[in-house]
Amino acid sequence: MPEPIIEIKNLSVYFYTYAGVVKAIENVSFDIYRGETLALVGETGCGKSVTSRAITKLIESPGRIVSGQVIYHRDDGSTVDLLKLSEEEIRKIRGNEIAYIFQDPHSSLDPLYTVGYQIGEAMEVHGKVKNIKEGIAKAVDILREVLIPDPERRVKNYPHELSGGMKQRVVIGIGIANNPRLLIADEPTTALDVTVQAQILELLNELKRKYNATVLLITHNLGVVAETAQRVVVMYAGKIAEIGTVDQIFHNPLHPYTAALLRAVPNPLGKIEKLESIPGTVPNLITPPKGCRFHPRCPLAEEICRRKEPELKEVEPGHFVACHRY
Amino acid sequence: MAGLGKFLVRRALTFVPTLIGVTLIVFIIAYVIPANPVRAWAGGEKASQAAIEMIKKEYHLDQPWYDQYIFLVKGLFTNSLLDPLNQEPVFTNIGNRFVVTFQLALFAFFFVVLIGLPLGIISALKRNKATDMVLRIVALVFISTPIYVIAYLFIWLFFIHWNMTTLAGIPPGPPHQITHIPIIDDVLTLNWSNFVEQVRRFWLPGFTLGIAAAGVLMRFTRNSFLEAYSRDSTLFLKAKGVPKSRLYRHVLKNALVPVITILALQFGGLLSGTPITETVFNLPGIGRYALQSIMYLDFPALIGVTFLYAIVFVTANLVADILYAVIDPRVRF
Amino acid sequence: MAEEKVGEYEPREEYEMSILDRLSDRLIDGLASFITLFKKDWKRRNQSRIKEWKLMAYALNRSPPALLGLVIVIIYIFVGIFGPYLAPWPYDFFPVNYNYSTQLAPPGSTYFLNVTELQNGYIVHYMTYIHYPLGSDTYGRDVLSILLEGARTALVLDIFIILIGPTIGIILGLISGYYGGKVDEVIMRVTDMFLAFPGLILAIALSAVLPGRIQNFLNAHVWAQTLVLKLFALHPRDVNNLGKLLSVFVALVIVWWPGYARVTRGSTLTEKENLYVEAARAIGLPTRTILFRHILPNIIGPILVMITMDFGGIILTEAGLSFLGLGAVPPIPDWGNLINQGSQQFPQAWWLVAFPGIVIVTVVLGWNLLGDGLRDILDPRTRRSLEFKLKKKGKGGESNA
Ligand SMILES: Nc1ncnc2c1ncn2[C@@H]1O[C@H](COP(=O)(O)OP(=O)(O)O)[C@@H](O)[C@H]1O
Ligand code: SF4
Ligand SMILES: [Mg+2]
Repeated sequence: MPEPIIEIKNLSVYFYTYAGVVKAIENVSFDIYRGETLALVGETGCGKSVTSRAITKLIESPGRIVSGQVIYHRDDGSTVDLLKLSEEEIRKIRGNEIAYIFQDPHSSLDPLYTVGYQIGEAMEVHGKVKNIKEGIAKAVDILREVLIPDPERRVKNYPHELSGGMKQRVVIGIGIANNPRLLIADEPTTALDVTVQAQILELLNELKRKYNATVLLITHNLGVVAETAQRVVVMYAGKIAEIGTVDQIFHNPLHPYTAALLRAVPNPLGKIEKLESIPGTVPNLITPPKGCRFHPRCPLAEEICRRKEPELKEVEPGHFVACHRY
Repeated sequence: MAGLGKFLVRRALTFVPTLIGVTLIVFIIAYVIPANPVRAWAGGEKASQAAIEMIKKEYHLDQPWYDQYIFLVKGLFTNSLLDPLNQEPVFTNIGNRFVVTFQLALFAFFFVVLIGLPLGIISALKRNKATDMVLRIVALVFISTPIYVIAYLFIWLFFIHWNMTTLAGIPPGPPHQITHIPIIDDVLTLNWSNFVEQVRRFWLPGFTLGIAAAGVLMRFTRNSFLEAYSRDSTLFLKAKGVPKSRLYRHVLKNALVPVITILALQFGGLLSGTPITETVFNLPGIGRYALQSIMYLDFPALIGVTFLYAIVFVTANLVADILYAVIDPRVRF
Repeated sequence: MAEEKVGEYEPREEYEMSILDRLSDRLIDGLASFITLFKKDWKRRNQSRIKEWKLMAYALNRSPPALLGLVIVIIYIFVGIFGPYLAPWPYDFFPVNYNYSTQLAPPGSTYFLNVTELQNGYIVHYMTYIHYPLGSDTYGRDVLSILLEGARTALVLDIFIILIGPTIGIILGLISGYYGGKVDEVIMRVTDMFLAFPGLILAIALSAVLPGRIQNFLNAHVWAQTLVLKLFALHPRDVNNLGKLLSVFVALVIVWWPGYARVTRGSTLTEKENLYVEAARAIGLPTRTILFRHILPNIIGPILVMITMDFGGIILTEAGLSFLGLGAVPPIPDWGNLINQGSQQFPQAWWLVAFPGIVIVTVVLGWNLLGDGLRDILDPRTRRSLEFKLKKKGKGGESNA
C-alpha cells in the first residue's frame, strides 16, 4: 500500500460573486501518494486550479473554502490539516514543502525584479539562505539546473528579457529552489510554444527523478499524462469523475466523460479531422446540473442521472468512478 | 544607457509638432478676438481713426491670417509681442509672476504627494473595510470641492480665526539666487528665515490648490495598488511563501510605476487651478495676470500666458514619459 | 430550450433580494420592454444581457455610497428641470431697487418692499415683503431662489456639453483607432494639440475671447436666441447676456472632447483585434455598424464612468469660470456667480460663499460617488472581485419571478 503525502477530503470551494455563488469545486476527495506523479485532468473551468490552490489555502476573495480537509503527512509521520493552519504556519509550508508552478510564466514573475532576485527570494523567505545576496548567488546554480544557458549573466536579467520557455524555466527554478516534497505544476506548458512544451516536460520529469519529489501535474492534455504520470484524477464541473492508474484510465475508462476526453486526444499519427470533440460546454457552476453534472452532455444518461448524484465508488482496486452505470 | 539617450532625443522630437500645434491653437484664440479691443488699446471711445489704424498695422490685424500667424509665432518665440498697455514685451511682464505660479505649484505638489500617496496606499491595504470606504469618500470629497469654495473656508479658519498665514504681498526671495525660485534657493543656500517666510505665505494657497489633485492621486494609488495586487505574479509570490510585508513591497513597487508617471502629469494639471488660487489668495502669479489682462482686453498678454502654460504643461508630460521609461525595466528604448 | 431544462439544474443560490433589487428589476424589465417596442424581439434575443444588467444593478444596490450619489443626482436633475418654477422669486427681480437695505441681507431676515413696476404698459405700485431664508446677494435677490434657478443653468450646460463634447471625442476616437494609419495620425495630432493645454486655462482663454462672436451669431439668428432662452428659462430681456453664457458652453465643449478621443482610441485599438470584428468585416457589415453596434458597446463601460464623473467636473469648471467673472453674469442665475459676489464681501457676506459652495460640493460629490460606484460595476475585473454576503432567504416561500 503506497503511503499518501496529501489526503484531500470533501473539499468544497465557492466563489461568492455578484452573479451568484459559483460552486467551483464540491466534495472533492483524492489522495496524492508519496513519490508519484499524479495527473489532474479535465477541461478548462473544471476546477483543477482551484483544487490545487485550495490545498495550501491560496484562495482569494470572493472565493471561500467552505468545507473539507487537506491532511498533510509530514516526513516524521505526523499529520496536519493544512486548512486549519494559521496564515503564518501555512506560509512556511508554501514554496518550501509544497511548491507551485503556474500556468503563464509571462504573468507569474514580477517584472520589476531580476530573475536572480526572485529565485533567491524564494530561498531567503524560508531561511535557506542568510540574505538575498547569498540567494542570488545560489540562483546561478538553480538556473544551471533548469538548463538555462549562461546562468551567470541570466541571473541579472529582468523577466521581459527572457523568452517564454526561459521564463517558465525560471518559474520551475523557483518551484524547486527549496527542494519541496510536493510540486504542484498547474498546466506548466499550456502558455508556451509547442516546440518548447516538450522541453519543459522533459525538464520536469528529470528534476522529479533527481529529487524524488511528488508531483501533482495539472493538464488538459491527456497525451502528456500517458508519458509522465502514474495515476490520474479526472474532474468534471467541480467534481471528481474518475480516479485510476494511467493504465486503468487509458485502457479501461469507465466514466463516459473520461471516454469522451480520450476520444478528443490528438493522435500524432492520425488525421486531425478524426478528433471528436465533446459536444456541449462545461456547465455554468452557479446553477450546475442536478444529479450527475455530466448528464446534459452524456450520451448514456438515464433517468436516474438527472435526479441522483452518483457517488464515487471503487470498482476495482485503486479505480474509482462516479457514475450510475457502475 | 545609450538607448536612453536615443530615446530622449526621439521623445524630445515629438515635442516639436505639439509645440506647433500649441501655437496654432493660440493663434485661433487670437484670431477670434473681436475687433473692439483695438479701440480700447487706442484709448477708448475717443480714439482717433488714425490711431486705430496704426495699432491694426502694428499687430498685423489688417493682414491675411497666415501673415498674422507668422507675426504671432515670431512674437512668441522672440519675445517681441508687445503688451499694448505698456509697450513692453509680454514675456518681460510675465517674468517674475511666473516664479510665483511655479512656487505655488511646488507647494501644492508637496501636499498632493504628502496626502495622496499614503492615504491611497492605506485605502488599498484596508480594501473593502470601513477605513477604505471612508478614505474613498474623502478622496471623492476632495475631488468634488472646488478651490473657490474650500479656499474661503480655509481663509476663514487659518487667516481670520487663527491668523496662521498672511495674504498680503509676497515675501522677497533670498538674496543669493540660483534657480530664481525662492523656496528652492532657500533650501540650497540654507536660508531658513526666508524659507519660513515663504512657507508662511504659500502653504495655505498650496494646500488649497493641492487638495483636489490629492484626491485624484489617492484614488489612482489605491486602484493601481489593487491592480498590482490582483496580478498573477502576486499570487505566485504567495505560493512562494513570501511573508505579507515582503509581498506588499513587491506590490507597492509595481503600483508606483504608473503612479510616478501620474505625478508628473499632476504637476502640470495643478497649473489649471492657479488662476483661481492666485485670485483668491492675492498672489501675483501668471494666472491672475491672465485674468487681469482679460479685464483690460489686453489680449496679447492673455495669449502669452496661455502659451506659457501650455509649454510648462507639455514639458511636464514629457517628463512623465521619460520617468516612465527610466523606472520601468520593461520599456525598451 | 433553456426554459424546459430548468428542472434539471440546481436552483441558483439567491442572495437576499431587497426592495431596491426588485425596483431595479422592474426598471430594467421596463426598459427592455420599451426597447422591444422599437426593435422587434429585442427582449427575447437579449435575455442574457438583461440578466447581466439586473446583476449589475444588484451590485450597485449593495453600495451605499453609490446609492447616495444616485439620490443626489436625481435631486439635481429634478431641481434642474423644475427649479425655476419652484423658486419663490424670479431671478430678474431686483429688490435693491425698492429697498436699498435688502442688499446682502443676512439669512433669516425679512424686508418690506415698496415696488413700482411696469406691467403690461401700466405702472403698478404695491407693498410686499421678502423673506431671505439663505440671505440675499448684492442685488437683494433671494439666494435660495437663485440656487434653485441656477440649477437649470448648471444642468443645461452640463447636459449639452456632455452630449456634444464626449460624442465628438468618442466618434473621432473610434475612427482613429479603427482605421489607424494617416487618419489616426491626423486625429491624434489634433487631439494632442488640445491636450497640450491645462484644461481650465484653455477654457479661460476661450471664454474670454468668444462672447462677442457668439453674441453676434445669436443676434443674427432669432430662432437660436429663442431656443437658448427657453432652455435656460430666461427672460427675453436677458438676450444680450447670452453671448457670455454660451462662450462657456463652447469653451467647455472644446476642452472636453480630446480626452474622450484618446481614451476611445485606446480601447478601440485593443477591441478591434478581437475575432468578432474580423468576422463582421468578413461578412461585409458596413463600418458604421461595426463601430457603433459592435465595438462601441464593448468599450463603453469606462467611458460611461468618465462621463458620469465629468458631469460633476463640468459643474465645477463652469462655476469656476463664472466665479472668475467669465461666463454667466448677473442677472443670469448661476452658482459660481453667487460665490463671485460673496468673495468680494468675504467674510461679511459669508452666506454667498457658503450656500452655493455646499450646493456645488454636494452635487459634484453626487456625480462622483455614482461614477465611482459604476466603475466598480462596469469594469469586469473589479465586478468579478466583488464579494457578496450570502443571506438565506426567509421561509416566506416567495416565488423567484
Ligand atoms: N476569482 C474567481 N471568481 C469567480 N469564479 C472563479 C474564480 N476563479 C475560478 N472561478 C470559477 O471556478 C471554476 C473553476 O476554475 P479553475 O479551477 O480555474 O478551472 P481550471 O483550472 O480547471 O481551468 C470556474 O468555473 C471558474 O468560473
Ligand atoms: S451518471 Fe449518468 S449522466 Fe453521469 S456520467 Fe454516468 S451515465 Fe452519464
Ligand atoms: Mg486552470
